[in-house]
Amino acid sequence: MNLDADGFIGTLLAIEGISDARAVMNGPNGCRGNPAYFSDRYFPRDNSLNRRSFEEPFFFGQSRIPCTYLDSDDYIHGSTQKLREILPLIAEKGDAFLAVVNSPGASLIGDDLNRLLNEARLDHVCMAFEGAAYSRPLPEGFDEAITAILRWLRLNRLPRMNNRVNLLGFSMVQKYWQGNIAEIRHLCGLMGLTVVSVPGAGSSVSELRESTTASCNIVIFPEYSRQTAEFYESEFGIPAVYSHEGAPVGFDATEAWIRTVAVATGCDPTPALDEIRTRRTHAFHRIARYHHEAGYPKGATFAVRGDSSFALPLTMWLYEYLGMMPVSVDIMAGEDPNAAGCLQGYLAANALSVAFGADPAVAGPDMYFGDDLSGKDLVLSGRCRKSVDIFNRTTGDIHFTERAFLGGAGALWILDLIFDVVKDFP
Amino acid sequence: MICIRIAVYGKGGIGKSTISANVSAALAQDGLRVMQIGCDPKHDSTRLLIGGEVPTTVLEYIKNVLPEDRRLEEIVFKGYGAVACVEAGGPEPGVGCAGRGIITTFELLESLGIKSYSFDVSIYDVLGDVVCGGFAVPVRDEYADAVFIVTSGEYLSLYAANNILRGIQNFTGQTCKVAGIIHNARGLEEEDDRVTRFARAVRLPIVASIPRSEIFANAEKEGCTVIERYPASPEASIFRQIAGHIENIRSARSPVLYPALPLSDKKLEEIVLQREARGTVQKYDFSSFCVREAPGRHLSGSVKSKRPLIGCAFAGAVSVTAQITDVATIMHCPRSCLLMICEKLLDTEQRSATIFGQPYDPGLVNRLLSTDMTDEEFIFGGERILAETIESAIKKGFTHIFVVTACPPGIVGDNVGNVAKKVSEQYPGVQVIPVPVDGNLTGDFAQGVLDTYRMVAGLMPESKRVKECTSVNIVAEKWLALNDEESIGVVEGLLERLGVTVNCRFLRKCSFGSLLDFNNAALNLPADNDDASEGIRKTLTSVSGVPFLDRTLPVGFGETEAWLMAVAEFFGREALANEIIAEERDEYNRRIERLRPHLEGKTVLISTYPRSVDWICDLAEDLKMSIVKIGLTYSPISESFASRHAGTIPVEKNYTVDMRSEDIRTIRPDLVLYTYPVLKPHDQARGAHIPYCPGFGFHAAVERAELWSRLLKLPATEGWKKDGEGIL
Ligand code: SF4
Repeated sequence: MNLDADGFIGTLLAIEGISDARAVMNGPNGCRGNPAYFSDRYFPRDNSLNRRSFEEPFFFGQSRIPCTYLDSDDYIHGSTQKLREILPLIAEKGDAFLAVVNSPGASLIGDDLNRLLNEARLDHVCMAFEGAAYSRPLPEGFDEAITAILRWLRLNRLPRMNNRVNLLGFSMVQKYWQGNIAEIRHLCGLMGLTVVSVPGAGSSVSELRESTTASCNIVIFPEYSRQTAEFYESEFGIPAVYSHEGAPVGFDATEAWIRTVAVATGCDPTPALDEIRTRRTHAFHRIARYHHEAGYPKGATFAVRGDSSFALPLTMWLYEYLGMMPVSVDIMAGEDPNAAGCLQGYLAANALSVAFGADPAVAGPDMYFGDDLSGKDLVLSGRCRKSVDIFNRTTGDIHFTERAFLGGAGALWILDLIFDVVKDFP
Repeated sequence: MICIRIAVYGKGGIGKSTISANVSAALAQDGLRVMQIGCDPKHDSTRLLIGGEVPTTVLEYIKNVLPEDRRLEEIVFKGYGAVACVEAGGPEPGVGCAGRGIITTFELLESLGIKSYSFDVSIYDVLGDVVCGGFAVPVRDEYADAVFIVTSGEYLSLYAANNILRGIQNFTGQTCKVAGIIHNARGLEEEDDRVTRFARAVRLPIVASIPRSEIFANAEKEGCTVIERYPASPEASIFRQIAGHIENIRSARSPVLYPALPLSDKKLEEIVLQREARGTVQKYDFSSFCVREAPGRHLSGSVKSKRPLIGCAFAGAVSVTAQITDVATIMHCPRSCLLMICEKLLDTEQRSATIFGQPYDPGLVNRLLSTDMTDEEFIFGGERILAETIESAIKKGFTHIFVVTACPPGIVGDNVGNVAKKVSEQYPGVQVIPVPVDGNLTGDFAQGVLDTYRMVAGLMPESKRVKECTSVNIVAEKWLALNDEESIGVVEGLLERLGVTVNCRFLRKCSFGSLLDFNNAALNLPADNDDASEGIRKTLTSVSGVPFLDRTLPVGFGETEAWLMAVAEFFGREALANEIIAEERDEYNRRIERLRPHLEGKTVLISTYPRSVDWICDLAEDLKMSIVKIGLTYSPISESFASRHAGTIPVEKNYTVDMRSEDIRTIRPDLVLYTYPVLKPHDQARGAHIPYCPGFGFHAAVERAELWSRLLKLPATEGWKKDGEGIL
């Protein structure tokens, strides 16, 4: 069983990732619990203590992603009636943007959502997704949805400004997404760059409208944003910047990323690189004073299952910087061909090809980087010592301090996690 | 000159494809750039334009070519007069969803940029027998500007024409969109009159009448249109006349479009068949039959009363089948469906292992499989992928496999029974058991649970004979709470002290074999008595003679004492039970004495969905606390409520959050015990959550009271809650 969320959820979370937008599901209540809970948990907006009861129509006690609670009658007769009821109620909430998304079942009945939106005089604020990337990779659904939304918003061609950039590829499904964005904003700031928008990951509709003032788009996770980047390029001539080393995970990839961004934007990388140097020194002093009889973390094994642009730099960094051994490296569907190819090439060049696609349950790694359910499964069944979540899930933990996986702060946090675990290894 | 898009609708076999192709050819001859899209799964709309060939259909293409490799020129073919020809195609008859296929075709054409090529005229040739959402897509504003309806004088053809008008009316309201009727004659008696009467009644013009003629068959034999083959024939001039009509619409030379004004079925009969209604239809009388009672299907509260369905039967069904430790569950669904239930199942398993040290079941991930249906299976049906997934389960070594269906396979009509039968024939010894709950088509989560228990009960060998033994079945345990396993351990411990063993936990962490052994127990111990549990009890009594104890698994001292005595009486072990009770009473009394000084005289308000809270009432009595009211809130899961204390404690039904706040304000209880939702910050009351499963046994309740006594010493509202003020 593949427990990865799919493109349908990616579509919903892309909409919910816009700070003043709301996804409305045209579908049964059964489809909605998971993404509604997810959105509320990882991008909370309302006061959950003021929740109403189960009886509240369309919301049923959950604040996000109201739904039309379709049932068998609606599959036969269409969902028009319920949509007519829900739309004015949702419109009253005053969101800047709404999007109705058909559930898998609703996509089969072919209701004309646009006509209904038109009839409810909501077509200026609400768009319709009559289908979604059901069972396709989540990043694909996310990317398609963001592109469709940007298109629907009919963004104006605004004068582009040199030091302004958009960050593409962030999503609330990524663990510490807000911390990651904060770290990248910080690095951009050191380079004199201002982040205009992060589509689908916290930006508002007005920030999206402003996104066309950016001089370039910095693509952090191409799996989630290749189409979006192409859209900006073809419609507004905004070029996209990709780092060959993948996302800025670990010191090396972060430095490579800083240099790539500096070349593309013409800004000075020195302050950002200096900061990474400081963080490296900080890490050095601690690692140098750490002693483990067996020499860990060098020689400790790890498995990673994640997006290709994350798995590539993480694998390289843990191998090169800490001397950890990758025993299972798996990339999730919807991969970036460049990152996936580099990763395979890298493993082959280091005689580690056997790790690519290896089953972590068989490989039995010391540490597993992946989703929490799979990780805990490995730990509880005695096939791994420690799992590190790199995705959010409805079942995941909550955190109070802002953490990150990306940039210098992220590198230190990864070291924290690793050294905290290996100290207990025999 | 503007582009115009025309939809040609008609009953299957009425000749709309021939008409569409001829009209396209006539328009092309006039020098217009024409595109014709066949929207009939039969995919022969454009055949006569391309020399009798059947081109690659869009849906075939989608099936075989990866999204990034798809090109417009591979699905658009050049026909007579350079007409651009496209065939949507459809799934094999009897599988998949042809309507969804039409939607997908339009989406693909659009994504490949068809809109940037401005054809002067686009003609959509659409099957009008079924006007479901998919087949109605061409009527939508973003597609057709005008609709022609093709009909003969046959009643069924006119019936279909009227239905099409209904579809158009639903989509367009009063907007004028219908261009008129094209009468394709069959040569029947009075045919012209019928069509004329119908046209007059629906206030539409007959834009052309095409006589029955050999010429069509002759042209067809040569794979071409009449326009191409017999350009000088009178028939060809009729098509030119229709083409001219389209050009009129295109140039808006006259008001040539009309609203859809369909007739009621009765009116249609009156007008077309000229038949008077025969009066009221009598209801069928079944009383003369002698019937054998079949085990009934029990309906969940929401299904019974048609309330909004919370959760879906698919998730409910999976939550049950996943409990059988040596059986695979195949979820026939898109991936998002499985997440709705499997995340919860796995999380509960993992957390109860981590928190309560319960043994972890690593097989759970292994025995859950999914077909991960995509759009392709929505269109073409998911039977092939289902068969493949069943085979993969067999390869993993499973000999019993449940197949639970989600909404999409239910809607597109996948024949799971047939797939199961074929696989079982191919692999003797393998039993594939369909659980056709079809997502939420059959109901909510509780309904899925009920239906699956019923399905599993149906697999047990029927036996009304009661065994002489000292083992019991535990029936219909819940699995949502993390402490469920620990709690059931307490029950098993009590039974063990009584010398009673557990035969089967029906259905929780049990093997398939133990289910089949269900009848080898002497007594059933029901875990609960909510509506779903009652339904399960009724189902089991219809197939098994094992009697049910008249008490549910006990919470707290009073309930456990009575429950243990009842079990002991059944097995004739009262003395043993008295010993156990005496042992436990001392410990219980000690705990109560310790707590009473802190809780005596305190007032309690209970707000709960309908569920037994007798354990709280018993405990409050022992602690000399006073319960001022039990408010029953709405629950999609349970409706019935019974309490031994109902006569002494006021019970208020339909209790809302606002009523609770008002009671808190006026009664000022010392403690509010609630299920859902949490107390509001403005309530300024001390509250404690009533756990879904407080645990079983003598001491489960008193452990909660220890928490209450602490809560009463703490601030009513924690500081962090104030920071939510201003957040809506
Ligand atoms: S599509 Fe149907 S089966 Fe799937 S989650 Fe939604 S309601 Fe349940």
